[in-house]
Amino acid sequence: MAESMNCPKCKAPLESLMIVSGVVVFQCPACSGAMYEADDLTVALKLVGVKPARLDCPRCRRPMETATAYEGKIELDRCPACAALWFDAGEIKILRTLSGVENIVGKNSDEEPGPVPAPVDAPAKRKTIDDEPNSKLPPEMAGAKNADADGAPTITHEGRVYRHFQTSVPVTTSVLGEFPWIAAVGDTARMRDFIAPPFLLSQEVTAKESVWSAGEYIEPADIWTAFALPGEPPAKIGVGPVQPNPWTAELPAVWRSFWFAAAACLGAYVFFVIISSGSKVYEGSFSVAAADAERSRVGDIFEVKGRTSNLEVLLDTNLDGHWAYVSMALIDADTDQALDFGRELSYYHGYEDGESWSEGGRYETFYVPSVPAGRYYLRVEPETDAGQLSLRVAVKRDVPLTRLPLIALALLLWPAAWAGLRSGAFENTRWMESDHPRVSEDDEEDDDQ
Amino acid sequence: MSRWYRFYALAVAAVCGWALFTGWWLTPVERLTGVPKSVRDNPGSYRSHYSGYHRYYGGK
Repeated sequence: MAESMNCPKCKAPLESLMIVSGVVVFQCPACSGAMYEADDLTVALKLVGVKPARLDCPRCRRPMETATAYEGKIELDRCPACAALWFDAGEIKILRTLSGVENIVGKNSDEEPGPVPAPVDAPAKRKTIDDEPNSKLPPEMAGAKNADADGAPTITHEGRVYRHFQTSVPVTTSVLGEFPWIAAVGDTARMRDFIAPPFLLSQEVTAKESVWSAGEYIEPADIWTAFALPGEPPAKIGVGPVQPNPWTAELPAVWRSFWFAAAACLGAYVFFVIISSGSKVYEGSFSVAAADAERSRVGDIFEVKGRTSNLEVLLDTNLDGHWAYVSMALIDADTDQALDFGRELSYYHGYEDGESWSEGGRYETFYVPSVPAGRYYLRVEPETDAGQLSLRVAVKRDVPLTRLPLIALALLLWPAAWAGLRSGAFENTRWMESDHPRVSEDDEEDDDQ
Repeated sequence: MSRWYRFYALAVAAVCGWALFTGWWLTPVERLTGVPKSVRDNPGSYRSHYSGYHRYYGGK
């Protein structure tokens, strides 16, 4: 039964490596750690100081233990359940030195010692599709060399395009169940997996034959239900090669809703731009001098007609090297209600170091929201450090704000963009385990250094 | 997600349309009552909520 395991340290897929006849170790090509069977070691380890480790066994997923040997000179992780031993990079060399045994791995200590194990610190060469000795496809498949945009070869079967995911060399380490062929520990084959989630095509090549098989992803809960298994299925770890991307099915509907709502917002804006009056309902001038004991002024009564809408208020001053704060009240001439608001203006300018500069402005436009129809007048009360302030006020009603549909578009966009990012992250996780991981150009440059 | 987003998108579009229709915006405006009728004859009889405490210290 071929097993797929991940490094307990860095989570990279472990690669099986037969270093002595009948002895298989699982090595991490990323961090060069390796998993050994305790029985495969020719060195008897007296482990002391056992304490819980922060790793989970890559095979049975149970928590591992940490212990030391050789008077604390080497620290190992072991699985109390399945007796697996985990060696970090370089620890095998340390064990050789401490034990004085060069061939520390052998099937049985009674047997002839095998060849010197391959150094596990050196990552194994990654198999590529070009190394495939039997790359012929069945007649119904085509295009194995047609690499897609991401450089992955593809094949087409029954109208479905499968992308190459991984070429691996699994080794049989144990057998469970009945098989129509003779299965033996140490059997090996070269496998190529092509995926079109949730479907999988696998080719298994041995010296004698090439066998293709098709598969389809099934949710763990479905299997639990089908076999009436007790309890809950174990939690998913990572992303399976053909695990359906839950966001892929959602994204088209999300983007449809986005475009529909975005069109509605823009359409509404265009509609109100067309029908809005934007008519000027008031224009008046006020003048305030520093010597005035009472600086508040009132304007003429003006009428706001139509539905409840906003008012655009334009303040135009004669400020020059001064500031002003204009407190304003839009007072209903027929009731005792008022809308209070205020605006600050300042305008400074000069010439310094050969360059002219300016700060602030003489004008200010702002919007008074949701003003119902009625008769109104303005009360203006400026504060200023200017000796004399002239103020012109113009009021328009029903001016659609461009910022409203823009804000609506931003609010619509972020969940859709978030869903797109989640979908991309899901695929990145999937392909991280493949021969075609999605890496950015920056990552590639980092790798080259 | 798609169902939730559909309602969310409809809500955003509806609020946008309502804001355009009523002229709603975030401008800080104080809505007051009890304004005396004499303001037109005597503007000083009413002080704006925003007046009297603001001083500007900017500029050069």
